[in-house]
Amino acid sequence: MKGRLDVRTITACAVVTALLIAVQYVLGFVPGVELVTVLLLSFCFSYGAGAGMITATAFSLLRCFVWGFDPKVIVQYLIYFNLFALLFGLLGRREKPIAVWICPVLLVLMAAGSAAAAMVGLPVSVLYQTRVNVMLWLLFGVMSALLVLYIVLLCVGGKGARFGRETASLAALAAFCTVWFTLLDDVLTPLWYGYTLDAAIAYFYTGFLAMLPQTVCAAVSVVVLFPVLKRIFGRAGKRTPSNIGRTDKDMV
Amino acid sequence: MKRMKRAIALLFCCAAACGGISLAACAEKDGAGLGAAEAALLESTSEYVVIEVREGDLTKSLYDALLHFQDRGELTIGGREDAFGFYLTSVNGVEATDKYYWGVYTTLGTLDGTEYSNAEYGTYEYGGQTLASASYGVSGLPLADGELYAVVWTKNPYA
Repeated sequence: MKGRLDVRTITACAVVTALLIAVQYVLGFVPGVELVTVLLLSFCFSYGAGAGMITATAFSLLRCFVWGFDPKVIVQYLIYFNLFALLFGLLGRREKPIAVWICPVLLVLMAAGSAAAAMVGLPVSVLYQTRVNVMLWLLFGVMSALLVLYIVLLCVGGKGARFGRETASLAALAAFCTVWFTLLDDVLTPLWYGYTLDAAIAYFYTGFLAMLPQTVCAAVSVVVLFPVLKRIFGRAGKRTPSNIGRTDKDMV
Repeated sequence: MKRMKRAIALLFCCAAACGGISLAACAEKDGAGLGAAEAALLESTSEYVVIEVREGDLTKSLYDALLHFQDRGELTIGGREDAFGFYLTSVNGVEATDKYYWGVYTTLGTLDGTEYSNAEYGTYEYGGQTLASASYGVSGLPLADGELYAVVWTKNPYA
């Protein structure tokens, strides 16, 4: 299944592209909630980097029919989602599990960053300060809980615990990628519109309003939905078509 | 194929559930009042709305002021909540399009180290004053003493 671009895989790419657009459209009405990350991550993990990148590219371009053709957004989506698909496609292809140190390092980094930002206080609108602080502490809580879960699973051992650790690692990576999506926007937008450094810094702080809930959502949704979606995509991809093994003569 | 269909059905169920949540989230907000703030609606047309804050209250937003004047029947607004707060899509019955949007401008610059507007994003002239394009949407702009706020029908330069 992984790495092969047969009709079956391309059909799956088309279905997942449609689903990504539908999910993004529907959840666009619920601020801070997004399931694109977990859906694309699970698909790339099961079908590999090639299929993932085709889907990421199709999604980045076709979504413009719904949200409009903004060149800056197209560039951002094409860069981010293709790198995302490459990362998780390659991770899914590896025989070995993700290195043990990656998950704790990412989780400690994000937990420490969010706690520090909450204590120092970000220069956002006075009307959003409480909301941003709550989201920062929530992110700290989710990252800490994931870290504790990871350490417990590390001590327990066994096949189930290994899968749990893999899921926790993917959740940490997904959260880290979501942070980078906003950071990429913080670089691309000022460059695109020619902002000065002051305007770019102000834009960076405003970006926290969208980044924090999305990062929390990415981590939680991967922990909850990845095992289910991986099974679904795994089964869908593994089933052998009924005509495989038949010769042309058989089919005449 | 059956399993693929089941998988798609399950995913669509998830999407439908999310749709239900989103519809529930669409409930309209009633006028929240202006608290200690005092604001005057200077002008309200199909191209712009200008509000002057005479007494400030930093716990209240421009969105609260717009709702206040809507409740009094002096203007109408429409929009939806997004990650950056309330996203204004229509004012006085005029809907935003790909080529035009409702831009938010204010004379409120930097307050307590936070930048609320920047002239680099765009400017609007009103009554001899220059209002800079806001860094936040209508629900992120606090009502500060003596400041002007405008919602202006603005051409999208990138469309």
